[in-house]
Amino acid sequence: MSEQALDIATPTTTLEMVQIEVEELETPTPRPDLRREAAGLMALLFLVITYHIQHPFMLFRVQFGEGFRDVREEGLQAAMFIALLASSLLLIGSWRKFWDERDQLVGRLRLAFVIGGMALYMLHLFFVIYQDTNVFVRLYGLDPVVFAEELQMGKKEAGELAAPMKALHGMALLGGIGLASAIYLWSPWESVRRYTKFNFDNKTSSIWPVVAKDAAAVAVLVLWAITYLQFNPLWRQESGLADQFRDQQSLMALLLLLAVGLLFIIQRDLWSDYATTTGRLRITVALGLAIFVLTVLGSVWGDSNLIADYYDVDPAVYGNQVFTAERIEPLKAADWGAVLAGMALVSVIYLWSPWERLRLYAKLLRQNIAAIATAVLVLFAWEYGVRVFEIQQFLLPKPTVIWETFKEIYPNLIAGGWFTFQNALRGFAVGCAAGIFTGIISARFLRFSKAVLPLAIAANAVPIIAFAPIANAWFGLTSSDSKVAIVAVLCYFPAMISTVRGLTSVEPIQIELMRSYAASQLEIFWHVRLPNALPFIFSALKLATTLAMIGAIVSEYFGGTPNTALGFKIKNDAALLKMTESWSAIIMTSLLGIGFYTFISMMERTAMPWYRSFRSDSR
Amino acid sequence: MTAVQDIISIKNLNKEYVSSDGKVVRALQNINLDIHEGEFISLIGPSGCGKSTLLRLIADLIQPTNGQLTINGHSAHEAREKREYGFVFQSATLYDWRTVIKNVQLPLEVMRYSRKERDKRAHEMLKLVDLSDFAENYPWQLSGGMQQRVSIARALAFEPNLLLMDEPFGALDEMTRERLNNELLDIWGKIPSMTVIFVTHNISEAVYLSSRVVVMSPRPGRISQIVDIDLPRPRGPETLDSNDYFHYINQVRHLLREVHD
Repeated sequence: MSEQALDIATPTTTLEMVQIEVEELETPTPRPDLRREAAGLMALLFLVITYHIQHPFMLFRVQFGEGFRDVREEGLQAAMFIALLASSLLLIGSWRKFWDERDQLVGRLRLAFVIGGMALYMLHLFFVIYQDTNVFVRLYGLDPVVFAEELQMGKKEAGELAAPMKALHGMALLGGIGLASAIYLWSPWESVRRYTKFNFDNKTSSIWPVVAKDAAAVAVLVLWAITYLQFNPLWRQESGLADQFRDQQSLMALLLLLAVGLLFIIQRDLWSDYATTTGRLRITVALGLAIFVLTVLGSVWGDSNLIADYYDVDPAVYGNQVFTAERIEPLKAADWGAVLAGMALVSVIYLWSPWERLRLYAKLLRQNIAAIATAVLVLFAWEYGVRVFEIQQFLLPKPTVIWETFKEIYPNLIAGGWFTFQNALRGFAVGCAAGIFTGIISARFLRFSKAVLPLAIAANAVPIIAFAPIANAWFGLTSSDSKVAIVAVLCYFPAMISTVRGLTSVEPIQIELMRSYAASQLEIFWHVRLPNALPFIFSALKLATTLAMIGAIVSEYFGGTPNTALGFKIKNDAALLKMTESWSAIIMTSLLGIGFYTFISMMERTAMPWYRSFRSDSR
Repeated sequence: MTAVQDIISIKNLNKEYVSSDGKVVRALQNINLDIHEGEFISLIGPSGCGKSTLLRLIADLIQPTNGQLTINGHSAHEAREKREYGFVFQSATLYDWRTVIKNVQLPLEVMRYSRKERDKRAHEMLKLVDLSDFAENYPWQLSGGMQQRVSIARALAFEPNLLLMDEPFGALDEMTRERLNNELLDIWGKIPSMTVIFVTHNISEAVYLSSRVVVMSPRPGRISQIVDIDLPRPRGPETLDSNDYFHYINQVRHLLREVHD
């Protein structure tokens, strides 16, 4: 026991003892906790993807999301929604400090704002995906079935209109970001505290700064509404709130600038807080509002609209290019979805706040510099090796060429990947569940274990993948069941053997302690054996993710799948000498495999924060 | 019946093992021992004398070959079922996956105490061993001495009136051991009805703590002599300097030397 050596320094107080321990305790370099980084990146990725899913008029080929919009793949859309939900929850859950504030009114309101921004968007998304109803489409009294057709246009027209349409919705997104960051900069919840705690008898403190701040903030919000409606070309067609101020565009823009400026200036603490993380956080989030204001100012005085410039369309006419009378209402409906997405984006960035942990990133970079350099070198050598030695493309394509192909065909790869990944996931779930269950049974009943365990260990050495063609005969060639079955059997044995090992490798003294409490077998299982087995089970699960991907891909080599299925595609394209396509499919397989493994690793860390290799020296 | 009530009564107790090569090993032979309520009794002897075996028999972690063993009038098995003792092992045996406070609460969970009661008692016990600040830490964040204090808090959490300790401080350095000895005496002093049976191979520790020291001899394990330690209580640093203390240590040492030869 290494801990015993620690007491040699004979500390006299508890505090000293801790100090000595922290200095002397030799912990193996703990794996850094990257759950929040992973959750933040995932939330952003899935936000982008779902943004395109929920957008009813994104009928054009767009950068992301295209592969996910295929209506036939309802399961895929739902999966993306669930992935967004899961990563958001993980993100919210990973921020301890945030939760610590929930006892106070301020903390609760802040929590409500940040979570509310995401919740609204998720709710909207939920209705789009599961109820086939776009709330905003309903709001404008449109028929959800017909409304998509109202914007249907010929391929040529669609090609021309893609940029103005995107610009239009980019503006809406920016509007949402501006709104959310204005509210955050305002932080009305802090005013609430000031009002409720304000003591009118106390002459020294004045309530007027708070009132002024609130007034400025309300002015910003009103002006936000007006300018948003004015400068979004979509709403120019409309009479209404914005129309009242149609002739005073410059005035409105000026007022907005003044109000926002006032809001920034009144909050002196905003700048003095810069040294603290919260302060930096608020300023960063406030940038969203600043960009919105810049866009508005640009279109009034600079005669250039940031968004329009980005998409290279004429700011004066890009709205008119898209509109016909019957398109306006549907476009508006789509617009509000983009506003919500903008708000959700601010929430995600706020929750993620990567700038809090720059030091961790720098450390990671330093630690892994050798690996990164090696990876870059290998890619470099590959690229130029192929050129210099004039290797035929069908033998080894250049990475750049593979990447080009990947970008071109990725929607197909996503559809195929989804099919293959589903098989892997189902097989994994069935195999691991069965493995853990029989593992528990055989750890409990020695006779069962004696009958089964040697066979299981022997079977573990059999190349089960060899049974794939036979499984096709058993479960039907065209059925996914044959693939799922192969994956399940592959995952079963490691899961079972590890479970048995974990449950039975408990130190006898730990069991004796439980016996001294007259604990039942069930209690011993629950309190001692199962937690003891968790590290074993998780390492088996991590192994099983790899096996599941291998099983799903290789079993597809024997046919009976749609043409897009990854395994079939790898084999088929290779046979047709379409090597770059094969390679692209392999890239997709790797991405899925890495994602799967990472997910299980994150679960592992969440399930057992106490485990040896996760221990950090901070308490 | 004497005036002081016997909490444990052992009569003609024998324990035999069958070793892996088929030979019968006599671990304990003809043990007779009465332990009074509120006593602090130490079992001391060279390794192989069966002192730990005797403690485990009392705890019903193993069963005697023959003989009689009663705790508060019932059998060891019944006593275990009724949770009449707390056990502290040589290693702290804390569960890695539980925080300090959760480790202390474990016996209470098994014994179906309410959540409120569990919290209350666990906090009291941690205060008793002076570890309140570490409630939410995991065991690996504590030093060996602190871990052992947690395991004592855990053994006391359900207020058993019998505490069985199997070389609890054997793996600690001398200074920590001395401090924990004092803490243990403090705790024992606060609960008048509590009986402690303490297995050790450290003579000064046994003398310092105990009201009686049971000297055991090996092969087969048996009680060779029982020494009454008549040092005044409360004991402290001045006890360590007293002549009586040295006298008792010498007495026990001579007995152990005889036993060894």
